[in-house]
Formats: sequence, C-alpha cells, structure tokens
Amino acid sequence: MNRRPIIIDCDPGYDDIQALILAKQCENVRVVAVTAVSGNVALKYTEKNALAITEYLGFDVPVASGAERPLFRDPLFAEEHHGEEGLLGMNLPEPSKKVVDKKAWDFIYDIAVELKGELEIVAVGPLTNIAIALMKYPELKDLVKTIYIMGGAILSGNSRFSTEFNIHVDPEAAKRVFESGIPFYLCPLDLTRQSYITDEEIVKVEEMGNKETKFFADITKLSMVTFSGNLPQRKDGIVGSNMHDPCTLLFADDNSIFDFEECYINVETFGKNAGKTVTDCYSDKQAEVKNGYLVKSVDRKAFVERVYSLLSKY
Amino acid sequence: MSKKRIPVILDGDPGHDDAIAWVLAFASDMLDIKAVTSVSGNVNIDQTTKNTLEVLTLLGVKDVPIARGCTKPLIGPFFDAPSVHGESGLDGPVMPESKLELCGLHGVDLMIKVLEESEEPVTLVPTGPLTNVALLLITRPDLKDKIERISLMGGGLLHGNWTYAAEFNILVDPEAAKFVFESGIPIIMAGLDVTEKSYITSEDIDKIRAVSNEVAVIVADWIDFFYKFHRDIGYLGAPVHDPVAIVALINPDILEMRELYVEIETEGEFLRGATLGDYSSLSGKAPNVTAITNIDREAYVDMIVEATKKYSEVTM
Repeated sequence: MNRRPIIIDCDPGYDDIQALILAKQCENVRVVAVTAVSGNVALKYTEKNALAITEYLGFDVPVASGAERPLFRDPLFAEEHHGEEGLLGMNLPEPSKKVVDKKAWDFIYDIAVELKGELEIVAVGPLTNIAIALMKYPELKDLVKTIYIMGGAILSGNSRFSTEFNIHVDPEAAKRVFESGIPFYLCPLDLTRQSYITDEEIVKVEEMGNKETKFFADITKLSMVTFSGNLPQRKDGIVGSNMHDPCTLLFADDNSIFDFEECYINVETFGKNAGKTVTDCYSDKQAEVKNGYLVKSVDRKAFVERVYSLLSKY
Repeated sequence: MSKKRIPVILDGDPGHDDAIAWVLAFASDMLDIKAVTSVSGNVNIDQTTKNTLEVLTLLGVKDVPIARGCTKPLIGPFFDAPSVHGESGLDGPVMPESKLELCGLHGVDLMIKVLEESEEPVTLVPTGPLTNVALLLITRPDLKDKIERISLMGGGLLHGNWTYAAEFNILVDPEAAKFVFESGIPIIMAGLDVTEKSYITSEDIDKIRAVSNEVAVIVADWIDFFYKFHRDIGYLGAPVHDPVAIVALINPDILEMRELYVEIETEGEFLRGATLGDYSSLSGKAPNVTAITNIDREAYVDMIVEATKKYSEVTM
C-alpha cells in the first residue's frame, strides 16, 4: 500500500486536533510532517499542541514551527471557539519532543525537493507558512502536487458575516497561494458546515474505550454548539461539532463522498470585506483560466461513518 | 369588495425584462401606477427613455406621467450591457412608434411630485440601477416616510453575473445601492438567487406567443432574443429577472423569502457591487432586506401568459 505523502499545516485548535487524530489512521495519505502556524491561538500554543497531540498518539512525525503572525496584518485569534490555549481547556501531557531545527517554510521546501513533486499539503490554518514558502522558493510551485485548503466562505462566514477565519486572518497569504499555479481544492465553510457530528453520534466514539478516541470524543463534546437554522446548511436546535479541518483532511484522503467543481477562486484583499473568497463557480461571468476546485458538498452520513471507521483503528 | 390597489412608481432601464415587468404591472388590477421613470443602465438614457415610451405605447398606457431620469451613475463611470439586450436595449421585434410624451420633469422630480401629492405611502419598483431612487433619497430625505417599501431587482447573495460577485444593476451604481439599502426603507430584493430560477423555456415562449395579440407576440419575441445570449452560456431558458419584483407585490404566494441584513460593498478588486448577506447574524444589524430565494416557476410562466391575455382588449 503506497500512501500519498502529505504535510499538515495547522493551528491547533480543536478541529485541527480532531484532524490530527484521524490523520494517523488515514488509508490513502501518510503524514510526513506537521507544521504549525499562528491562527486559532498564538503560535506558542499551536506548536505545543501539535507536539503534544502527536506524542500522545504515538504518531512519529516531525513538527516544525512557522509564522508567528500574518504577512502584513495584525494577528486575529479565535479563542472563543478553541479556548485560550487551543484545547478548549483540556490538557495533554507536556511533550518531550521538540520542533525540528528548521522553520516551517524551509522544512516544507526541503521535503518537497526530496519527494520530487509527490508532496501534497493539507492546509487547515491561515496560509501564512505556505505563502512564505512560495515567496522564498518560487520553484516550490512545481514541487507541490496539490494543496487542500480549509478556508473561505461562499455564502456566509464566521469571523465576519462575509469571511471565514483562516482566509480572513491572512488574505494576502491566501491570494499568494491561490495565484501560485499549484492545483488546489478549497473546502469552504459552506462545505465544512455540512460535516458535523452530533451529540448523539459522538456516543459511538466514546464507547470505543481507548485514550486516543477518548480524547477525540472529549474535545469534540466541548466544541459542540447549538445550530441556528438561519444558515442554509443547518437545522435549528441540532447540537453538534463543526469538523472543518477533518472534512478537509478526509477529502484529501478519499474524495469519493464529496462533490467538487473546477473553477476560478480568489480572495478580496481590499476594503472591510478583505478575506472574502470569490469564485466564478456560480456566476455567468466565467474566468478564462480556472485555478482550482471548489468542494461543494459531502454526504454527511457517509462522512461520520468514515470518522468512526478511522477512529476504530485505534 | 374590490381590494385597495397598491400605489407604485415603476423605475427601469428597458431592457427586455424591464419591459416584461411592466407588461405584468399594467395588466394587474392590484397596482395603481402613479408614474414611470427611466434610468441609464442596460443602455444609455436616451435609449432607455425611448424604449420606455414605446413599451408604454404598446401597452396602451394613457394618463400616467413618464419622465427621463439620471444619465449616469452617481459616482462611477457609465457602462451598459449591449451584449445582453442588443444595441437598442430592446432588440428583437419592431416596436410601435411612441404616441406618448415625457411629462417635462426630471425623473427624480416626478418621483418627488408623486410622493408629495400621495396621501398614502407609495411603493417603488426599481428594475435598473438605483441611481434615481438614491438621488431621490439624497435630495429629499423628508419623503422617506412617503415610501412604503422598495421592491427591486438587483444583486445576488450567492453570486453575481457581471463579475463573479456582483450583479449588473448593483454593479453599475454601487454607491446608489448602498445609500438605498442603508436608508431604513423596507426592501424586497429579487436577486439572481431567485431570478436565475425564473427562466422561460422555448415551450413557455410558444405558450405566450399562442395568446397571439400584439403584446403577446412582442413579449415572445423579446424573450426569444433574450434567450439567445443566455442559451450560449448554458441556461435552460431565458432568466427573466425584473418581473419577479412585480410578482413580489401582486402574487407573493408563489415566492419563498427570508429576512436578513444585506451589505453593499462599494470597494475592492473583486467585491465592488456585491450584495453580502448576513446569514450567520454576525453583523449586529437588524435585517434590512426581505430576500426572495425561490419561485414556483410554472406559476410564474402562467402569470406572464395571463398578463399578456389582458391586452387582447386594448385598442391602439
């Protein structure tokens, strides 16, 4: 079995943690490195959480530390959704392992060179690390096969009503990545809001009875909110956890339960809606050159089944 | 027990779909049409004004004051849409020569006159760029209370058509749209979200043509022309946008709507003219728009067919 090599660039964050727990068991991709970026919480927490969770899982994968702040803008955090230190108040044992002796962008580049064009990146935080890598090593665009991005909002956002957090935090970085020429798949909120797990469904994970799945179940339960039917993807009153980052990872692992379409995607970098993603996917106005793919929908039941199936391997 | 008619001012840039909106409006016994004003948009103001007079002549309109409105957007440059509507703005059938005359007032002044003279609040139905309506509100804020609501065609919450994010009417004059959307006057928005579902197929066009009076044949010809552009980009029929703003007033039962706050973006590389909807209730602002989200398309087609039948009695 030849699993495709991926780097996970992330900002843990509860849903990054969910994704990392799932990542160890993925069937079609294998994680060759984890890189941390400032995002949901400050870099000192995201890198520590990345180290702590991989060690807790016995997941032998190097962790590199990346950007402390967005390219040109002041940092924004999302502590209200992730807790002050990113784990919703939960604790992991102090990690004994350390970050590698290279910054994220250098580590990404070195791995890309080594893998001779086979590397794929799953980017589930602000795109600062990837943008810096592309700025420093323009030839990287020919060395990365695909990027899977959790980010953006087509109809409605979360950080502002028009913007999704990851792209909103560093719009210029997102623009650099979208315009890089590397094929990418964008998993926007419109998609990831479809990939939730409910309070009833998490019980099955709780019953698996080992420490890895217990941590998954516990942090997932802490992240649960009551949904509002105002959002098109939602029914009023359902209690669930938004699994934004796992959605993107599982798409990278196996896209068979998703619908996606090739289109043009970019991001506004001016005005008060800077960070709002735009696409020609639904417009009469069509771009002549398509630069990526918009992932539009997922079979939620099948998605939850895959989460169960991967977690049951612990 | 006749129902009280809704006093309205029609404001448009005809335009095939503006013209069909007006076919619906003048055929309805629910509307009391106080004035019709033209605005620059699909084509230039000379042409939209000429088209206005010819369309209203075709419909046998008498005793409704008509005025020519704004020549260009409030701030931005003029641009038009000849690729969609043809050079005249109403390409296709030969139109009857106008037997009507303009009332002599500027379009905005005619709106002011109607509002001042009306005892009850009037509904505005703009189906072009919002330049006239914005200028009305800028120059006479005291008349806001005389406006019941604004039922408009414009914008798109999911997507645009002239750019990725912006719909034509809003893109032409985003500053005007922003002023109108922030005015506090209740807005019913027939955006692309519903109007692209409001398409008329070739079979539907045959049904309209079969009514076989002059208006019906010309409406069929208009939609035929309008469909040519849209067929090439993959539509199942011609999206006849503007009449949905009239349907919202005379037959809202065939529509689905929801209230939300909508922001008009006037800046940006991609977002100028975008209508951004606050689905996630993060703006902290009360809804300013009732957005139409869906339509019973078959019923919509029936309304257009039935409206054209009303013109069988018209003697020119």
